[in-house]
Amino acid sequence: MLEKGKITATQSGMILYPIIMSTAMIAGPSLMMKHAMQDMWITPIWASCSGFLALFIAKQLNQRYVNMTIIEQSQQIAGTFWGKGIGFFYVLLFLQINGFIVREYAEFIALFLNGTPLSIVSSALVLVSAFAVRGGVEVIARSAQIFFPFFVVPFLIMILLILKDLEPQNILPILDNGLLPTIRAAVIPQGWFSEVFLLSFLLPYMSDRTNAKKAGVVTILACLVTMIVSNLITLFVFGDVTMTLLFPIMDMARYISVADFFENLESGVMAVWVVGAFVKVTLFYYVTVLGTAQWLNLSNFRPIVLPVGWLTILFCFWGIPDFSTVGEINSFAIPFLLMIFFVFIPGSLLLLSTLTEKRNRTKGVDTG
Amino acid sequence: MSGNPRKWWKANKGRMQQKHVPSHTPLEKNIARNEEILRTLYTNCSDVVFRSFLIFGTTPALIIYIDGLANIEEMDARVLAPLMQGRGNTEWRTEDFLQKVIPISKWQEICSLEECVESIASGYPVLLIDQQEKAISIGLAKWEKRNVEEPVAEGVVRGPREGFTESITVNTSLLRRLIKTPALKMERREIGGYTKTCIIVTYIEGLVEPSLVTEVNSRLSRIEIDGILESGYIEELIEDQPSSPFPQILSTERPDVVCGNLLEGRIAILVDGTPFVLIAPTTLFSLLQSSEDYYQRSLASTAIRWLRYFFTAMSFVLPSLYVALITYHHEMVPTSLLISMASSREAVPFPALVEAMIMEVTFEALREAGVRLPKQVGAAVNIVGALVIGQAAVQAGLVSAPMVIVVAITGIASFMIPHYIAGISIRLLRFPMMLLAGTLGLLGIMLGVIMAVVHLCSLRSLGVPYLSPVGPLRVQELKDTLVRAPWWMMDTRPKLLGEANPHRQAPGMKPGPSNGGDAT
Repeated sequence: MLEKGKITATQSGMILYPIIMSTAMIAGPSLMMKHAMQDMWITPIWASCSGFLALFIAKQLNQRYVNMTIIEQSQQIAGTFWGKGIGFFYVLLFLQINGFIVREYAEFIALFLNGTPLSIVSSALVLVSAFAVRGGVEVIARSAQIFFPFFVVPFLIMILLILKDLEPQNILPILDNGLLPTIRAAVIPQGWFSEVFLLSFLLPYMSDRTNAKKAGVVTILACLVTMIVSNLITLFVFGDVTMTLLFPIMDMARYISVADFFENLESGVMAVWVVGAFVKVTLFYYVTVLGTAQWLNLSNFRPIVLPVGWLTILFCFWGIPDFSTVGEINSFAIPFLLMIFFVFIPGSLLLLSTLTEKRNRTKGVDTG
Repeated sequence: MSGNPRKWWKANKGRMQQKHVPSHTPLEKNIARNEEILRTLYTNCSDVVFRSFLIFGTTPALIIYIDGLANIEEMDARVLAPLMQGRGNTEWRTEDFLQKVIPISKWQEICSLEECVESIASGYPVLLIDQQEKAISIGLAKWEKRNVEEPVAEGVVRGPREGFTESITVNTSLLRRLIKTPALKMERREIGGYTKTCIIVTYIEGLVEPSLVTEVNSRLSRIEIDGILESGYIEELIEDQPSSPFPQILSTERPDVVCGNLLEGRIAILVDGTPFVLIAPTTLFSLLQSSEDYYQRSLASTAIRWLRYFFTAMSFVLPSLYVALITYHHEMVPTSLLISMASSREAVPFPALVEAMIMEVTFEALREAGVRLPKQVGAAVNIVGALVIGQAAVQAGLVSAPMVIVVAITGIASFMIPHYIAGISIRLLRFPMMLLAGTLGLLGIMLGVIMAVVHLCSLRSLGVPYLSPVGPLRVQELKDTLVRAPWWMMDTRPKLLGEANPHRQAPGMKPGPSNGGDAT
């Protein structure tokens, strides 16, 4: 096997949480508000459905093909030729998505480091991630576990500090336009939730696989709650203005002022977000590397870590000329790509495998 | 020497390790012949004494010992006197002498020249008797050694004040006095072609995972070296990740620390000639724990541990944080503080990064000079250092006062780490951190911290994750990491690799007043 490390279900949950939340925390509230207005806090509930679906599919596929990732599973289900084809597109998607995540992070960081070229900012993160990817899934899981409190606690502290500035009446009127806009707004966040499907790459290395489902559900619920809370908080603080803000959570941090000492905490938000982005980029990076190695039937994935990193840096600039394009891709391309690759294709594969299994069984009965 | 060093080593191995001593040469019956061979071996060794005499006035005999390593008074009284003045049979064999004439308890029969040389070198005088095939190694070794004193590098307020010494027999006796069970095993071996240093691997059978002992022994047998002068040699030769700045094996001078670790199922390696004993496997958190944590009240220990964790983190990031704030993130500093900081930096001609580098390097130089210099000069260094970096530099406008404060706090913070060696590695890492902070600001610091955490996550000490029990998380063991739980709560041993004997004590030992004592 390519990867010899072992992780636990809890660790996988602690990887997935920052993966979903690091994007959602930064741009989530304003993106959801564009469609759902003041009802945007309902949206994550619809969006999380795709997360549960992806979890179900990943778990089912893993039960049928134990110790395999989607790259190998697709070859088992659809045959070597079509399976390799699907695997190729998966690897390509991971590269593209990872490049995009790195770009998104770099654009965000560039707000704080004006003058530093994007290429430096993005390659610095990719380099650090490469370091972790070389260590394998065990190192990624352990570092995610250690960073987990550093990702969650600052958010809680921030809520605590901003409590006195909340204006709960901003939530009214509830469901003024009916449920439909909230569902329409769920198109973007459902993509983030569907990233739970990356569990497909973690399940084969899990030592306590029986807890995987529980850990997955808890992770999705935790993300759901965090998203609702962050939506509500931004709504309570900014009201309708949220829509116009690029990074509402960061603006909220800027808003905080306690005892004239805790002021301008946006650099703190950046620090926390770097941690989240690190976990996210590292997992996508690892998945790309592992997927490529499996696709090429390599015996060791470490030699391709740096080349894939180089490609990731390239993909973070190819086709993305400026920040407005980042926003466009984020709201028009990414959600659908994620839905297709993390829910639709794996779902079809699962369906295919169930059908062939059933057919084989009836065939077996006929001949027997 | 040319070509492949490995090939060269294989070809010349014998020559390097045992230059003069013939291997497995049996002793001859003729004592004159034996003496001749040994005298040629010990040519130009003025400290080796050859004393020939006649047993019972008839049989020629020879005692060989090294001056200063043998107990001469005892030898005169217990060996020479009875042999020369007593009466006996000339037909006696070696065993008969030991049973009837020589009143000593520790002895050994020797059959070869090689063993002869070994015995002499260890301080045991060798008695050769004419017409006998076997010689006697007399257990009368005695040399000057330091008394058991309080360890210098690891002080405690409460706790035993014994420290290891340079003599391995004293060290093993210190351990045996604390752990009396026969399950305390001590496996002896010799490493070093020339030094023949005695190494003892000790563990408690039943508590240690057997695979760990096998692993340590196999790593030790790999070593082929000319000499071992300190346990640091062994440490570097058996580490898991030699290129890491973090020590993966704990070294200590305190017998109570070693015993505490043995009771947790770890292995200790004692090396002759040094008071520093190695303990493996080690985690990052054991480097941050002092033995006193376990002797103080648990609440105080917990608070002190947290203080230590905080300042360890500070010694790692504080200077770089300062550099990043001054250089890039002014907005994070409260305005009034920023103004006072800016005013004190007004006259400073260097950018914050350069200033910090200068000061930190100066601090390290002062620290090193303070350690290395004789005590009398040390005071002078302290005064000059305090004046130069503390006052004059600020007054001259070369560095700012806040910078001096930061450097001072960092220095003190790094000395809070109970194991000096671990402190050095963390202090070293703050220099690349400062560079990162100076180039990428807070982002650089975050990336540096992530890098360090990832590295720590990938480290292992003898197969045990370096960051356990935090990563991978073992909630059971946080009782001795995040806090120092009272002893009545420490029911389980840390799980290192296996689960050999997980229970430390009887559960439910929480003490309390006896029931109804108050009512009567």
